[in-house]
Amino acid sequence: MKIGLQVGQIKVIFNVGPLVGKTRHPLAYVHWFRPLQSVDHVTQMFRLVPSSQQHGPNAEVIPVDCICRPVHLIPHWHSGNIGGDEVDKFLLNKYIDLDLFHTLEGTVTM
Amino acid sequence: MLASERGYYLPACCPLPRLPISQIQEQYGAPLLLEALETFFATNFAALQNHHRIHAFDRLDVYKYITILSPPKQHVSNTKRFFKLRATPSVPSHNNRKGLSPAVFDSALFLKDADTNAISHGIEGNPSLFAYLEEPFDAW
Repeated sequence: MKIGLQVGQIKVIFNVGPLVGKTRHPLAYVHWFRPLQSVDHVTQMFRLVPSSQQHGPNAEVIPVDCICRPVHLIPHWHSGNIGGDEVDKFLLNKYIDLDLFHTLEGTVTM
Repeated sequence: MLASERGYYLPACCPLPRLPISQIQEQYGAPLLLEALETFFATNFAALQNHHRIHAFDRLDVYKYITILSPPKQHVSNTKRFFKLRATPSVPSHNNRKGLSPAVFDSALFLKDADTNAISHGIEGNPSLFAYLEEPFDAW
């Protein structure tokens, strides 16, 4: 498990107006994926599933200074959803560049 | 703000100023934005008792993208540390011959706990590399 790191999908990047409040950094509304725990043994990439909460997405508003870097998600096709439009499982592509590979390497628990 | 270690850059001019929260929830597929925003303010500004209560008709300045300066790495060039993250909904085209421009919501890696994250551990933190270097060359 990668401690302190979590993958999320950024849905809105915004600044609150003066009437709502004043924050130090701009904010982002994020839909979280589940923590980086499970690894696909063939590709050695982390499996990702959207996190849910009370039958809805696990959403949070966080400051943008928590964003580390973008990631590349590969849809994880399996026999049940081949050809379907909706994909709910992904693989975190750590081979997309050296920086991400270095960040995630050494965290795979066999 | 653009620091040498980590940082971000937002466009100087907001492209979508003063959008109502209810409209953002509908267009961006963000149904829990109001609740998440209330939770954020309750958590981070709990000391402010007379804080303005957030309503669906309150307005936010929305940006289409943000540029991130990722943490430095010893073996990664500084010019490759800039990343652009987009968050735009599907937009209808003014030209009837063209269809909708697709929605783009990028995924990102977040630092949930800056104190315990492993981002700063580089090659210098990998003991196996030092084991290689300590072997005498004639042993290869």
